[in-house]
Amino acid sequence: MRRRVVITGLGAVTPLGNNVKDTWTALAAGKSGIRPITIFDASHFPTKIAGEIKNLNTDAWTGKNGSFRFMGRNSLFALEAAHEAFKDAGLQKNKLNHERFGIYMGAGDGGFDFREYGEIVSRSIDQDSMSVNVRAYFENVLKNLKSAEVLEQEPSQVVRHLADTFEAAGPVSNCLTACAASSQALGEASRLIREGYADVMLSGGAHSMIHPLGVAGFNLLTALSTRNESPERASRPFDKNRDGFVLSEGAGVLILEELEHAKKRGATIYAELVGYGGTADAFRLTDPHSEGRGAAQAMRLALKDASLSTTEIDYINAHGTSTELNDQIETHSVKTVFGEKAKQIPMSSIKSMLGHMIAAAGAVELIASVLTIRESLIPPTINYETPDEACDLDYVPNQARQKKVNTVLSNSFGFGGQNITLIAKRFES
Amino acid sequence: MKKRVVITGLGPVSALGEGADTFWSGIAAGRSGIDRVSFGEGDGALPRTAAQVPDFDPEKYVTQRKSLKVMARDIQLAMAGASLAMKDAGLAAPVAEPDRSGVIVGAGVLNHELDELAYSIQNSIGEKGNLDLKKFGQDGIPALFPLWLLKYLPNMPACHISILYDLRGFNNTITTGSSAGLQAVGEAFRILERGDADLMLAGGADSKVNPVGISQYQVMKVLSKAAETNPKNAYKPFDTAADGFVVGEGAGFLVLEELEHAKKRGAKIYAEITGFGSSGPSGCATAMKHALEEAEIAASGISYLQACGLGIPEEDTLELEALEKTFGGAIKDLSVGFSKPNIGFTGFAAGALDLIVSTLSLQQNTVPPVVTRPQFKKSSSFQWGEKSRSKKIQHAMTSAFGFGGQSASMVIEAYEGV
Repeated sequence: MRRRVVITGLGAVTPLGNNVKDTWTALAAGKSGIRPITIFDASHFPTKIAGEIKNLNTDAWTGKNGSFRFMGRNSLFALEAAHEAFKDAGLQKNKLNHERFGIYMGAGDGGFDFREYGEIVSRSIDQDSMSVNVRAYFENVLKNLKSAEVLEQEPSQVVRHLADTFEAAGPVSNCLTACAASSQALGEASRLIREGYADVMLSGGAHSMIHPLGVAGFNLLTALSTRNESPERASRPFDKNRDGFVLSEGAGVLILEELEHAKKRGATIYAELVGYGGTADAFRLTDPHSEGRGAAQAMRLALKDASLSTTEIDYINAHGTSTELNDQIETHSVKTVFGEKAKQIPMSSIKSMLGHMIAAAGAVELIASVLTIRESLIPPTINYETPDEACDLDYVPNQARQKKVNTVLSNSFGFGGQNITLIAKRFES
Repeated sequence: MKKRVVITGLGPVSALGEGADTFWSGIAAGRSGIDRVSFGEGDGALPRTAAQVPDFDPEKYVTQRKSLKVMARDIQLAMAGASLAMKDAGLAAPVAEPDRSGVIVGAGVLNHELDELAYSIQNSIGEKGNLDLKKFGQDGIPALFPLWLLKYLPNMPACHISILYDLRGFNNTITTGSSAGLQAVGEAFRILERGDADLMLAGGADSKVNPVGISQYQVMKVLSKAAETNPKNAYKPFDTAADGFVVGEGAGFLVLEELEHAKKRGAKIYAEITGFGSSGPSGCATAMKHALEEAEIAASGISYLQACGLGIPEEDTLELEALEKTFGGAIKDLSVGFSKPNIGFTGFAAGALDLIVSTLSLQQNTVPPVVTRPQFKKSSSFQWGEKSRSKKIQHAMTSAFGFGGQSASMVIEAYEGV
């Protein structure tokens, strides 16, 4: 008999709240977390809006420990969300078998201080050739950058801090598959438990690309919304007048546990993680496959893994980025998989409220999916005003909807063609 | 029942050259690819001892010039490693069963090219010489290469490879620092073992042999000073005089297949993967223990160990302690090799390149030499030689630890056709 994997703890740091409860309350109320950018001066950028984390208080675990000083926003968010999830699951370090407790995150890079770095480069430019003088650059780097600062840029630092903090000695990994990363991490973490390599996994994602080069990079690819005058209405998945995604940041962490292990310690079980499918488009770097080939296949694989038929999915938590192509192709691929039934399945995108947390998005979406099952409430797609003929499903427009939901399919599609689908199910013993 | 997984293709790219034959002849002969390199005008101040891939020509592997333009050197190296591994496995693009074939790459933050930012930043300097984000927003952003982001996103190597070979199955990018390459192979092993694919291409690629990478390592104070004056002989992992590493670059890719799939197409089988373990940054011994347990052998059953041997004194001590804990008294008889004096520390590629060394050692039944003759700081030491020597290698272990990364360890076994 195959080992079953259940979700026993949740933690989140999002633009809608620095914990799960506040985030969910805001999602259920259809609120937007998108505001003008304050982290840096974006007043002359094409995009001046984002979903930022505000007023994060990490005193509970940082204390006066100076080693947190150089941590990237990714690590701070991850640790905060992990503390919440660990506590929520009622786990205690001294009662865990550390070698059976692992970590698998989809965490992004730590970013770096672009102003500081830009000044290093500018002071090193040879005015005659307009190229960087290597010697000057080297000396300026040595003078200005600190070791910890450099090290914290690596995405591996997030799991390193988590493994140290929570004393995990089982399987430890981190993946970074763009917007699919944390869903992929959760999928792989669930497999490690199912296949018997761990009993408890701390898994999810954390990321912040709200820095000058992140915003500039996506602006150059014309992927971001420039609806700067009305930030709260900028992320509008499936709406005809959508004009790109809105960058946001944060973390989502879940505790995954083998069922018997969870039962034995009397843990609260939120839901069961029953399906995982992963594919690649193998098509283009920037565009999804025009027929949604990989997306459809990921959904089929997850359904097969969960031993569920298409008629047994009650709600789809969409990837729904609010870009022209994603929303159209996701809609198409859902119709490919679910056929006529697709129109009867509510499918919403919480990115309409949260923006796009990139690597962290999928984990927060799985948390929302789990709470949808638990609360019998489907969060809406806000800012849905004008129907698009290419997007003709039930997107749960603007208002949350009460409905008993037993099974949720959650999609995450990465920039570059990685497609991940997870399926969560109401727990029945 | 878990599926059996075998290695059927090797694609190393390193300072020793490109392809398995070149790589092995360099390793077996104890050659070092480390040398003095040049970073152009004004590079006199920089550490310039490095292990660079000689005369690397990405156009041999990437025929579309448009694609090359959006590839950082790390990605170009990855394309080379992946192509060599597939060719070695007798596979061509596109693969026969795309839905059952995937790719996993060990990667991380990729270094940008300095001059790419120069013009944009020059446009963004305020009156006091500070970086003015208003100016950057207005005049700096338009001066950047429009596809700038694509060139450096860590998941791009895996995307390019999946497109080249039409690999539509699992696609992942592992970012666990210096263990990333081996971790990527370990995760590909898990996917095949659980039956989610029949063929996986896995490995890692990295290039920090550039002013940005060298400067960052220098900030972290991890580069060997001794190697600056004595490039070929001073990089000495585990030695009492070890004083840091020499930066290398390269890619290591392996084709893994489910055993029956490999047999059906008559593939050449190098070895079988029988155990893998990973753990946190201080979990060297745990990773090895889990790999041994899964392979169902005692530590004394390991005939060859490909050590990590980074050359940073504290990291070497941790690794030696972990080896002592794992192997106990058997450590004195343990045949050990480490490749970093040959090819430098190749970052995200290191663990995969080391797995290629142990795969070839096992296939050739040869313990490769250690080029820099270490003087151990501890009484307990393992077996190593200045020359290659023959030894029946039934089980080989490969480890990748430390330096900001996690711990990973893999056991491979000679495949005897049953």
